[in-house]
Order: sequence, then C-alpha cells, then structure tokens
Amino acid sequence: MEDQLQYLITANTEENRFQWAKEWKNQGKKVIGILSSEVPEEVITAAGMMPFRITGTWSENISHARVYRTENSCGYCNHVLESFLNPDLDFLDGVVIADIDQDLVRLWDVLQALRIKPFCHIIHIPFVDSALNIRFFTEEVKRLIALLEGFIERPITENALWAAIETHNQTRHLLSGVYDLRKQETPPVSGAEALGLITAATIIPKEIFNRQLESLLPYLNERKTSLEHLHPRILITSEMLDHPAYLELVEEHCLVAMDDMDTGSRYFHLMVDAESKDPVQALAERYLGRQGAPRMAHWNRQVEQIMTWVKAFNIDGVIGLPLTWCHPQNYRMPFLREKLKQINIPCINLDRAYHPANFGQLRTRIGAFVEMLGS
Amino acid sequence: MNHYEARILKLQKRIQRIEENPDPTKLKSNRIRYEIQLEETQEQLAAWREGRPFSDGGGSFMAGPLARAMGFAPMGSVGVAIGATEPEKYLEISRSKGLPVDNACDMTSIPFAMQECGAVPLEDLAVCDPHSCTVMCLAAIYLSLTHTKDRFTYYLDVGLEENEANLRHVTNQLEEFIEFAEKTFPGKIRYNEEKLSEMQSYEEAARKLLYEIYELRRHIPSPIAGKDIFTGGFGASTAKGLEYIQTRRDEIAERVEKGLAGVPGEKLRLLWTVTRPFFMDPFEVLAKRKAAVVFYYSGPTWRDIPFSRPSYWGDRELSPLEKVAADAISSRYRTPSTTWIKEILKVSRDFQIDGIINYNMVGCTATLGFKKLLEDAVEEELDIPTLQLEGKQWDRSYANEAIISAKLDEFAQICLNRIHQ
Repeated sequence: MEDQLQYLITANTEENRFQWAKEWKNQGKKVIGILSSEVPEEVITAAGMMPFRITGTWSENISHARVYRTENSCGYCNHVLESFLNPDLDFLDGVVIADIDQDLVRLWDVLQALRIKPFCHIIHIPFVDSALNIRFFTEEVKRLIALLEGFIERPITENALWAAIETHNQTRHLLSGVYDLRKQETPPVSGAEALGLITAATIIPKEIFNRQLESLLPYLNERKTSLEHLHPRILITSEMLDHPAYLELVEEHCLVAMDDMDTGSRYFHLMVDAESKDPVQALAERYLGRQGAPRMAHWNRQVEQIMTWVKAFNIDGVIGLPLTWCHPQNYRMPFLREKLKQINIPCINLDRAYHPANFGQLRTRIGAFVEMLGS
Repeated sequence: MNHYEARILKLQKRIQRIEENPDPTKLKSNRIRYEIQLEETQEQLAAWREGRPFSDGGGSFMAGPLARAMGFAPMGSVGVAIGATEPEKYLEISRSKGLPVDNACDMTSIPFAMQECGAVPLEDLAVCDPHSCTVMCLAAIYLSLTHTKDRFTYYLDVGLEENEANLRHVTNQLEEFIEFAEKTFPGKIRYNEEKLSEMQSYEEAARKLLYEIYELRRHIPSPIAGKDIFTGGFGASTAKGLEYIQTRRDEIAERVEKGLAGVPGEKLRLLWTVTRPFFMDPFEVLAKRKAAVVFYYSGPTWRDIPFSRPSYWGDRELSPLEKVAADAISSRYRTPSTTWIKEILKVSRDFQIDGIINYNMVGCTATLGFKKLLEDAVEEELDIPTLQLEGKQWDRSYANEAIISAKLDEFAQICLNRIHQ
C-alpha cells in the first residue's frame, strides 16, 4: 500500500506529471489544461475531456518566458509560460484560464498572440458571491460549456454534467477524509505528502484517482507520518504552491498540519449541491461560495475559516508563503496577521520564488519562527 | 494642514503666478484647468467640514459620475495621488502597515495611505472594483475591512468583455448600488438621473471637441508636447470643464495656424504610454535632442481619440446608467491587450510617430505582461523602435533621474539615427 500511496504523492513530479494525460491522449481523447483552481473543471470532464492543472516548469531557467514577462510579475505565470514555450505542454488540446488577477489575463494575452493552442478561453470569475454575481457567473459557465461543445462538436448533456459533478464531489469527499485525519496528534501524512495528493488529483483522471485514493483510506487510517517534529503544528497559507520542497523545508522544523492553499484545502472545500435543480448554477454557487482565494473580496470570511481550521487542527502558528509578486496574498496578509494576533496565533510571511530557491534564507527564518513558537 | 488645504494653497499660488507673470510657452487654458481643480478641492474641503458623505464611485471612469449625480462629494481618485504634496510620506505609511507597496504601482498606494493618516477623509461609501488594476482593488478591500466604523463598501464586479451581458451585469449592480446608497445615507443621497444626464451631455460635447483636438495635434510640428499632452483627457462633466476643452481646442488651433511647436525645431515625434515618473521632468532631456513627446496613451486616454467604439448594444439609445456601465467595462486596463496595441498602432500612424516609450511601471499588473507584444507589433507594423523604460512614479529607488535621463537620451539618439539611415 505504501507504494501505491507514494505513486500518488509523487504524481506531480516533473518525471511523472504527464503520464496520465498522455495515456488519456493515446485513447484518442482530449486534454484541457487549466490555470487556476477557479475554473469549474466539471464541465471539461462532462465534455469527455480530461482537465489537467498546469504546473509550470520547476527549472530556474525560464529564458524563453522572460522575453515576454518581466521579473517583477507572477512567478507561476512566468514558469507556466516557459512550459508552453518548450515542448512540455504540446500534448494539451486547449487551455482555460480564470481572470483571477491581471497577471493571468496578460498571460492569456501572450498565449493568444502566440496561438499556442487552438482552444484558449479565459473565464471571468467575479470577486464576490452576491446574487447578481452568481447569476452572471452561471452565464459565464454556460458560455464555457457552449465553447467546449463547439470544440468537440457535440453537446454536453445535463446528465453528463451531473455525472461529472458526482465524480468531482467524490474526489472532494475523499480528500476531505484525508484532511480530517490530519487533525490527529500524529497524522498519517505530512504537509508535503498532502500537497502531493492534492496535486495528483488535479492531473490524474478523476475516476482513476478516486479509485486509488479510496482503496488507500484504510491504510491511511493506520499510517503515521515519519516526520521527526510533530510540533509545533503549522498552517500554511499560499497560492500556486505546487512544489513539495517548500513544505518539506518547513517540516524540517515542525509539522504542517493544515493549509489554506488553492493546491490544498481550497481545492476540495465545499461540495457542489447535487440536489440543486440546475447543475450549472450549482457549479457557480460552489466555485464562488467556497473558501476564497485572497483575490476574492470577502477576506473576513476567509480569515474566519482559517481561524476555524486553527482550532480544529490545533494550530500553533501560521506561515504565509506567497510568491514574491503575488499581490492578492501579500495584500491580505496584514489583515490576516492582525486577526490571528487577536487569538494569539503568531503569523509570519515569507516571500518565495515559484521554483525551489533561496532555501538557505527561508530555512533560517522558518527556524527562528518555530523557535519563537516553542518559547 | 490636510491635503485639501495644502492643495488649495498650491493651486492658488499657481493661478496667481500665471496672472502676474504668464509664461508664453505654456497653454493659457491651463489656468482654467487649475481653476476647476481649485473649485473641486474647495468643494471637497467644504464637504469634509460639513460632514457630507464622500464617494468616488470607484473613480471617474467607473461610477464616479453616478456618485456625483447622487450627491456624494468626490475623493478625487488617483488624482489625489498625483496632487499629493508628500508622496514619500504616504508610501512609508503604507509600508508600515505591512502592505507590499514596493512591489506595486505607487500611485495605487498613495490614496489609501492619505485616508489612513487623515490627510483626506475616509471615503464613506467606497466602490471597490477590479476594473483598472488588481492592486487598486486589493488596497480598496484592505481599507474597507480595516476601517469599518460608519463607512461602507460596494463591491462592483466587472466582466472581461465588452458585450451586452457584461453591460447588463454592471447596470444591474449600479441599480443595486443606488438602492444601497440611498438606504445608507437617507436624506443625504438621492439618485438624480437628470443631473447624471446633464453631466453626460457635457462629456459628449467635450468628446467631440477632443476629437477635433486630436486632428489638430496630428500637425507637424506638434503644437503641444511634453507635460501638456498629459492634461488633455481632463474630465469635462461640467460647463466649466467644457469651457476648458473649448479654450484648449481654440488655442491649439491657433498654434497650428501660427506654426508654433511644443518643441521648437522638432526632429522626432514620440509616443509615451502607461504613466510617467512624477519626480522629474522626463521631457526636458528629450527636448534637447529636439524630440517631442506628442501623444500619451494610457487606460483612460483612449476616450479622447476618435476610435469607432464597439456598439454591441445595437442602435438603441443607452440609458444614463447604461452609459456609466458601458464606460466602466471599456477600461483599457481591463480589456485584452489587443485593444491597447491596436489603438497605439492607429495613433502612431496618425501622428507619424518615430518611437515609443513604454513606461514599465514596476508592479503594474495591467500593462507589464504585454510589453513584448506591443514592441513586436510596433516593430513589425510600423518599423519603429520601443524603449522599455522601467521605473516608478514617485519612488526613485528603481530608476532615478540620472538613469531615466540617460536612457531617454540614448533612445532619442537611436531614433534619430534610424531616421537618418
């Protein structure tokens, strides 16, 4: 069983990442790359295609992308563009981007200008979940469905949407189960391993992933992480963090017991209402209503949710690991830090690159923070 | 002394200086512009003292005119930042709050800090929207959640595309905004459609004049250059605003007739984009090379240019609220870069531009991501060079006067060499 678990945990490594998508392609089916967990990937599944979250290259050298993008811009976008400009992502049939910030919109501009993929769509994600916005977003999702139908030249039926929702909800349910186990004093998986599982869910066909993870649950119930330090217990807040080395670095000193990340808990937070009358509206409600990214305006709710997790997961401190030029994360941080201070939870914000870099400095600062928690 | 008091003194001195010692090289219409600014600032100060509610409606290109028509006093949006007398102090205040101002456009951090430290009042009803830039929206969210006592925020979502669905979406929200504002400030705030309509008719009249000005400015040599080209897109939703545009048009026409040039002996015609450093006059060094910056293109300035606007709403007449919505969704900071690039190409052709200075404002998420696309399009379609000039607006630490001057001088030389080849 351990081999099977490691198989999932290491799915998103550079050596393994593309294998499921390529197998899918070998069956004559299409793969659509998605940038951001805000894209309602159920509609891609319902179209008989495979949604594939794009991880940018982890290489430091992004010389091709640098021609188009400045150093002072989102590292994720820069590394993703590099992957598009080398053969890594040639297998993708299309790409769907969410306009979660202007950096992604401008990345979409470049992909459009270079005609990288025949299907390249950007979907607008409202930044609040008011009734008017849910209505508008519902229409945006319908438009995406119509465009995908045109691309595959066949309709996406309501039944197919419900079936996709069921499959994706099952993924959420399973991952949620794994995260529940992380509340234990000695959790079954480390933070880095949990990240591996979530990113695996984004690049493996959902039905395969669900089968694999479901069969692993009894094993995970018994498993204990082999981490040396189980204290203090840390919650990580970050965006576009998909390299486990960052969490491994934190776990040299402590345990990452929970996260507030698009590649973590936010990926599976909140089910799509399977009892709803309209599957598209149900999708819109789920994607706007779940624990939001910092680009969503309801920071109060986001922070309340983090504080709930702090209690439920017995968290001692919070570490922010934003990309240096990630404005949403960096602007929310002072607000989050202030709120956490009110419940005596220390918080530190440590800028990072997208690829593994500056580990010496980070190690020192994390070490000092953990030491402070201990004292 | 608060910001308004300091600004009133500054504007009064400026007007007095013009009266006592007019500079023949400067546009006379500038005086009217300063008078308008003075009147607005005096109104802001009076409103603050009287306790009238403030709202910018998200800025003059969002629901700003609507907020005015509802009886709100205007904050001045980013104009407040441009007129700030102590920008460094405000940047430092933002830093002290832990906000990453050094990684962002400093223009967006200043209005926020001015409210924080009481240089201007806290906006009573802020409109927070993502139309112009991610950072401005985030700063507004921060402010709305950290200063909640007796102040309110309406989150106005704007879709990506200029189409009927987005127009309806924004109009619906504007209606909701009106309802919310009237309930929140009973007796003080009331939507006055007639007033909004009147403001819009001034703007429409001004736009026709601006199109005339555009044609006049195509003249070689350019009748105006440098700083004067940054003041053209001044909002004209009042009778005096219209008077300013009329006077400016007449004056430019006169300069064209007399063959007067913004840069005498003009040898180069340059287009400047995005924004500029406010801690220096970057046009002086160019003028020494007889290089005239003859056009400024940025998010809002496209409104002054005779482009055919997309009439996705068909032939029907838009309601005043829909006009506000249509303007809001047309922000060039928000739309795909193809719009921005297409318009720069048109202006460059119309004005026979020899080179483009694309100001790479550090942290500007709206524009940095397409700098290469712009450069390629300009090179391919017009065969002219682009200078990617990196810097900030008030913060000299990225690129100071000497660095910027050296780059501009070198670029002017390159453009001149290309012309002479």
